[in-house]
Amino acid sequence: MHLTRRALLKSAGVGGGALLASRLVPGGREAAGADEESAAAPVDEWVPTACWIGKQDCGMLARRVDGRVVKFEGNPAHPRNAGTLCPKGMAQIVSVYDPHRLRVPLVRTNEKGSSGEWREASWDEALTLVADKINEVRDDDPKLIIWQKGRSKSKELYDEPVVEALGATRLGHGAFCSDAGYRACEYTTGVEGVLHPDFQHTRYLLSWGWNITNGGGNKLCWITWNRQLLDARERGLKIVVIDPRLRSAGPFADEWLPIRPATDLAFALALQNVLLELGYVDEEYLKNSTNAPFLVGDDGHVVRVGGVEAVWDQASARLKAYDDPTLVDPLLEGKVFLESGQSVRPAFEVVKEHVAQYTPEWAAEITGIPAETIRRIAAELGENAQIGSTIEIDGHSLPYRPVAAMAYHMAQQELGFQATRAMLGVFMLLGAVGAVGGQRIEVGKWKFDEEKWAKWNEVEIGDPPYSFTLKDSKFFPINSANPQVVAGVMQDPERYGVEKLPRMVIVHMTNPLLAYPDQKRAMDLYSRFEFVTVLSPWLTETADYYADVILPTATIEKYEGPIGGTDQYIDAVGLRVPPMEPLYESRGEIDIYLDLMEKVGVLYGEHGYLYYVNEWLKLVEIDEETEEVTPGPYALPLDQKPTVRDIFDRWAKGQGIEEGVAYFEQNGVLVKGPFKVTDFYGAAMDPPFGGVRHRLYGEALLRYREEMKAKGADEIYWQDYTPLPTWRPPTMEASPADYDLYLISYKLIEHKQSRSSFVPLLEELSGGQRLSINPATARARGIENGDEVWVESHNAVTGETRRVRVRAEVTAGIRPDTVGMPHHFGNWTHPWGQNRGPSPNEILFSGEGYVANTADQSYHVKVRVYKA
Amino acid sequence: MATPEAKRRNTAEYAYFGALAVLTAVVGLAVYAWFKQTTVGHVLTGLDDATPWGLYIVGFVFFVGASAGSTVIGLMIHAFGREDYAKLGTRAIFVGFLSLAAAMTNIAVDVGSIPRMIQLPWVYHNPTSMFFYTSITYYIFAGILLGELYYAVKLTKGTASGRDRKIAKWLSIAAVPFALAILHAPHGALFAVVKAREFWNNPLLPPHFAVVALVSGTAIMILLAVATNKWGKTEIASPKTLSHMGGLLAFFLVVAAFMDLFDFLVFTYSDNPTGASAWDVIWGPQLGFSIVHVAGYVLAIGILLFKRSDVRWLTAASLLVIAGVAAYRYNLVTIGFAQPLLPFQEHVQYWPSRYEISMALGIVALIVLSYLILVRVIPMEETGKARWDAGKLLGREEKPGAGEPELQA
Amino acid sequence: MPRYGMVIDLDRCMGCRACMEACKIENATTEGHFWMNVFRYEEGEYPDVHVGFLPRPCQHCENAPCVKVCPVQARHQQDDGLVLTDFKRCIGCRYCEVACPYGVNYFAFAEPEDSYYLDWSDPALESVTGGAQPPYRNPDLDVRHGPDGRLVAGDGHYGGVMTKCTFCVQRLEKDLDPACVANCPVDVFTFGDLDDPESEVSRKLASTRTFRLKEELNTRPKVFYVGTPPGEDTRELEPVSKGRE
Ligand SMILES: Nc1nc2c(c(=O)[nH]1)N[C@H]1C(S)=C(S)[C@@H](COP(=O)(O)OP(=O)(O)OC[C@H]3O[C@@H](n4cnc5c(=O)[nH]c(N)nc54)[C@H](O)[C@@H]3O)O[C@H]1N2
Ligand SMILES: Nc1nc2c(c(=O)[nH]1)N[C@H]1C(S)=C(S)[C@@H](COP(=O)(O)OP(=O)(O)OC[C@H]3O[C@@H](n4cnc5c(=O)[nH]c(N)nc54)[C@H](O)[C@@H]3O)O[C@H]1N2
Ligand code: SF4
Ligand code: SF4
Ligand code: SF4
Ligand code: SF4
Ligand code: SF4
Ligand SMILES: [Mo]
Repeated sequence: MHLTRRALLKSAGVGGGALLASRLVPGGREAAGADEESAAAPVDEWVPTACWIGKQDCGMLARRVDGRVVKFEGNPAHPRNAGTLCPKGMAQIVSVYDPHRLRVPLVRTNEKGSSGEWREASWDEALTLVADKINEVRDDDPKLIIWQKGRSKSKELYDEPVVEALGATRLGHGAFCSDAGYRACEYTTGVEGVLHPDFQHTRYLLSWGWNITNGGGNKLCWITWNRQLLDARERGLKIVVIDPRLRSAGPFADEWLPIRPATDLAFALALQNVLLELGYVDEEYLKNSTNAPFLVGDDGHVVRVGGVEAVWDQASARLKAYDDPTLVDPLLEGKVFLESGQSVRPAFEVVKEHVAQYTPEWAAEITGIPAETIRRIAAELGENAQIGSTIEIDGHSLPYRPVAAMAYHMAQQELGFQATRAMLGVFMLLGAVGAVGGQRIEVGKWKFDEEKWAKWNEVEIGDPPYSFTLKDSKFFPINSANPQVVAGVMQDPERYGVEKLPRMVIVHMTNPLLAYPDQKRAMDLYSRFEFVTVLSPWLTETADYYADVILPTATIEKYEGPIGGTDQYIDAVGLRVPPMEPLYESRGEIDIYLDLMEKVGVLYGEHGYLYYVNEWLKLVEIDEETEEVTPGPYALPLDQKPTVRDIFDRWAKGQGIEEGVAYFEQNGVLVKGPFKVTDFYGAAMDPPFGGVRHRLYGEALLRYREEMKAKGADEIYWQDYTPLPTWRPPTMEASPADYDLYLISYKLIEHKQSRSSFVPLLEELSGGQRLSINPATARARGIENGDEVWVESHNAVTGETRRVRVRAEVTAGIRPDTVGMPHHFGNWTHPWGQNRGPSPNEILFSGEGYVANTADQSYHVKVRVYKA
Repeated sequence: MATPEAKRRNTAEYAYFGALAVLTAVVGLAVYAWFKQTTVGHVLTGLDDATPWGLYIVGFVFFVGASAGSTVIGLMIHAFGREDYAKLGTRAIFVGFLSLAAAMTNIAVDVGSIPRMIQLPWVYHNPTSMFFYTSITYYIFAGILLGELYYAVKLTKGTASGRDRKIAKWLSIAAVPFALAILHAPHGALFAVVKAREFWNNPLLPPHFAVVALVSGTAIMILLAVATNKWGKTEIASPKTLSHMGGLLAFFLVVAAFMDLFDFLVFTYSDNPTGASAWDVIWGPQLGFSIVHVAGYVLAIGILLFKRSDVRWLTAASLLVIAGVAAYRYNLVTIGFAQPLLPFQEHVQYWPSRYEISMALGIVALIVLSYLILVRVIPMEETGKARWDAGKLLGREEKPGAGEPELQA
Repeated sequence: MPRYGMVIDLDRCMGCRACMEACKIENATTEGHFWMNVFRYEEGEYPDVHVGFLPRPCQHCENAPCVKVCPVQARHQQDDGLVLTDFKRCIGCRYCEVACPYGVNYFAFAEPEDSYYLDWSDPALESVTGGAQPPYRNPDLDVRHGPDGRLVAGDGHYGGVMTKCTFCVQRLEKDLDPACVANCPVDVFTFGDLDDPESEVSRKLASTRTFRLKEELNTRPKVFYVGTPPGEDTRELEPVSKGRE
């Protein structure tokens, strides 16, 4: 056992002389007992838990020696990570023990808006302060309480029951993550997720702004996808990388298409153009599983019979509802004159006409990718899609279209929603959506979500007053509830027709000042709340400036879950099991909420926290219509405060796991086995895709556009509500010409969002913040590798400029007109986070022009770069 | 009223003790630096894993070289039978000894653990290690030098037997090849065997080291003789002798410069990465050292060829030579690391830290200080003379031409 | 007696540095010590650029120059081929580091208590960790290993000694793969007994074209690479931090 020798010497009151002597006497260094074997054999054990720093909750085993956790390793039994961890997973042990963790609840003693001064408080006092404020605001309007989360870990115990029990408004991180893509996929297919391939079968992959070697992408963080990618590559997968920089795909780029930032929509439209020109079209899929045959009038609206969308049945030469059982062969191409004399066309015709303008030559100008390359890629896609082919799996003959895209956070651009629709459109033409080897969306089952399918199609755009999230407003009918939009509303409620503004916020596992673009705007937002409380293991920058009360949470030392464990092919469920007691006086969030809810008075009884926990953990059955509750055998009693372990014990037993939570304490993960192909492939489901017609044509979007106009919304809000994805130059292009570079942002493999740049071992690996810049661009500005430079951004709408100073890294793997800065940095509260370089979010903008039509954040801005 | 002579003596005394005080202060600073480095670690140096050897190793090789080179005086006396060098003999032994001590001190401050280092070669050994091998030679060389001293004292006191005389003579003669071939050339080998560093990996490096040792040893002895003539009680080297020493120095220097010239030539020719990156450093960040090295040599050769009988010019040339050799040593050691080990790595420029510089100066101060004290307690000239006489008794005087310079550079 | 060796498949490496981190935790290496170092580099001009990654542990050379030059035989080679430093004997002369052609050595420039990133001497923490330094220190590092029972495993024993990759001697004794090998998410490494023709590593060597670094120096590394060696004109990307001053 190594003791702090210096501390020992110090405590013994000996000075430099003894220190010197200890270095000069042979064996002197050994004085404090290195290398003495302890008499008793240590208790050396491995206990399961789950990665807490990352997003996919990799299964871990903690090695515990005499009660002290000395290492985390991957749990070999876990399908996601198969016994391995990424650098963050490995290094998190350092942050678990970090002496700079918050130890006790803190109450602010100085003005908000600058670094906090604090007094320590007991849990009881701190929670009472928060509960009293909650009750004060609840008396006014519970909706004015915001519960804000980042990537929270247990929806079933946090996001839903806490918000429902309080009646609060929930704000998520999605508008800063990939929600633009989610919205597009939900709207188009009813499946929640973004684009990723079926690695076991895909043979041709568009790695579309996928940060292969650093980020990871859809739903999972990193390990799972890359294990699958490498195996697929060894089976012959070709990877075409569409990304302004090469470092994302690294050596795995079979071909790199350095696209101009924010022009993906143009590229996707041109691909569609060539596919249609070359006739790479899966008519069967389009006819039977999409709205391509739906008849569209000149006004862009779909013709209906009996309220149901109509198609033209070629067999009977009649107009029929698309779900009419007598329908034989719907018309896909051509024109029909209705009895009324109205001329209508199948939506597919409209698509063809619309896309005809987007030639490869046109797109080459915009995207910077040569026309012949676009043609070739489209042809390769068409070729590889093997339209019409089928494959036998588990006795089912299924459509086989081994082409797909992987695209996640890249969807966060001003035109992200429509770009993702256009990308999906490419794979819809090819019939690859939900086919074997084709385009997937959700991990695991093809989970058709009835509610989301309907939700974005049936938005009722109301009149003011709007809620402060602008839900159902004329501004963002499809709305990802972006906190930075709320910030704009709070600055000028009248402009948005909002009357009631939020009064307090509970910040759970997010650090908006660093995590989200437009730090200045975020600061303004938090300064406007009457009361801010933050739950975090560290003093986040947000808490430092704006928290009234900070509640210190445990890191990995808590029960948390349930955690999905699928690697997309194998079904599994896991639980975070504490490998040790919470350090200091920190507590697990569930413990905290149990006490807080009790103090607020919403823990027990009907529609209390426990009531909703029962619901979300499926410990009771609730009849949707009557709301009648049938308690299951393991339901939590509503009049008794459970322990957290007890909650999970009941949940586990409710899942049919006899041993209850003990199973997870033993094994960490329950592997249920592979998904059935009929659950996994949308095309194999009965009925296919849950019985819906994928929306190639977005009629509802047209309706929103019309209503928005009618209600007097400005063009900037309705311009992208088009039934078909339509190109326009992004707003940032209006910045003056001397802002001649695009700034993009992305993740580093060594870091997780803003929650790890102060973990010394990771910081050491990552080498700190840097601006990637092309050699020619650097040369033109007299910049050399390692030089300090200023990056100055310009807001094309407001004219505001901002700048940060950062070290340049010259790399040939980035477009000459683009510079890149990873996320993660800019921390100032932790000694190891300081002076590691800025966050790009200090110079990115939010608000009009920098959010999509779905209120999603863009990560692009025009900048100029010059030597510091 | 003090006589002018007494006045002069008084001033000299003040200067002497003033010098001691200044040197002591420099040593004190070095001791502090050493204390810090020992307790905090080598982080305080400019060294890192890309350049693990720096100023200390430079000091080490420089002083081992100086130590070996100082035997040239013994060679003159005992092999060439030059009486005019006799008075320098004991001083040369001291220079050898103190330089060796300085070299050892450099190593001691360089290594990570002194208590472990001093167990080498007694407790731990590794016959394939040049460093192990050289560690033996220090002790032997120190033994030889101590032996010479011992017998010199004996001779001076007149208590030496005939056998003692013989031993004394052969010790002085043996010291030369030992110092050059066995002590110092292997220090060249210390570097030359390192295949990983192409810059050093060169069979000519050991002989090159030996030549440079003679250069620096001779230059130091010239300076010493000049200084003693000026500030000492008697003249210990006649202008003729000094001029002869200058000739010797010129000869050694030309050989060294010749070797350097071809080194440079080979580098300019080879377009390989090692050559290129060495070139980049030589004419880049370490240009100052390169200039001192090259210009020092060239100017010194010029002076020595044409002006060596003028003491002032000779002094200047010797100073130039010492600076040149120090710069050569510095470049040699540090440029070994100029070429990164893997192709994509970039060169990390090393500069010594305040701590290293303090200690390097402190070590120099320490030996000068020791020397200044020793000259006061040990009768240098008497012992030197006694040794010469002892040699004469053994028939050295029959040698022709003794006392006349015969070597012309 | 096995003779341990490793094959590193560059065609699979994602450059993620998870192996580095596994090494850091397993061996409690100090700040700035990267016994495993994964280099990232690029070659070529825009847009014809190639990115590559090279994991570099100690090559455990059969004809190890570092062993030859160590004056005190602190750096030694065991019968199983592991090249190790005896931390109780090393005098810290850095000759091994100078002689190693691969730059795998890391000198303990500072004392261990100043090299573990954060100040861990905190009473509340120590009540949980028992004062371990760092709190996650692997207890297997502080016992003796190998046939001669030498202190050779892990980092952070003393200031002023030379450290480097040990092939995780403490894990091999438990029949575990080295930490980096076990943790690579995409199975870049194959590790095992080169003398056993049936071992995975021998089979991989027999079935794949491999190269070794600086073969011309005849150091005979026991680490073999699959893929393309980095060319002379490669430029390093994203180097790790050198540790704080
Ligand atoms: N190490 C690590 N892994 C993570 C995370 C983390 O923080 N750290 N976070 C997780 C989370 S929450 C998420 S959302 C995922 C994200 O997973 P990814 O989406 O794979 O990750 P990002 O790093 O955001 O990648 C964005 C990529 O898009 C490129 N890009 C930027 N602008 C454009 C553009 O206009 N067009 C195109 N085509 N490409 C563009 C960038 O160069 C970058 O390569 O990663 C997850 N995994
Ligand atoms: N410039 C730029 N910005 C980006 C991105 C980018 O690529 N570039 N990526 C974006 C993406 S994809 C996303 S998903 C968002 C993510 O943004 P967030 O989800 O907000 O993630 P973090 O920034 O890590 O904030 C999480 C905070 O929660 C706290 N925390 C950590 N662990 C716990 C815990 O166990 N309990 C509690 N209560 N708190 C904890 C930490 O203090 C941490 O600061 O960031 C976005 N921001
Ligand atoms: S991939 Fe994500 S979940 Fe897995 S170990 Fe890394 S950070 Fe943790
Ligand atoms: S863990 Fe594997 S993939 Fe990652 S850098 Fe190391 S060898 Fe490469
Ligand atoms: S790689 Fe270097 S340290 Fe390792 S055995 Fe070879 S020479 Fe020695
Ligand atoms: S540093 Fe230690 S291991 Fe290396 S050569 Fe010197 S004594 Fe041997
Ligand atoms: S074998 Fe062990 S010591 Fe060597 S690099 Fe891998 S983890 Fe580190
Ligand atoms: Mo995200």
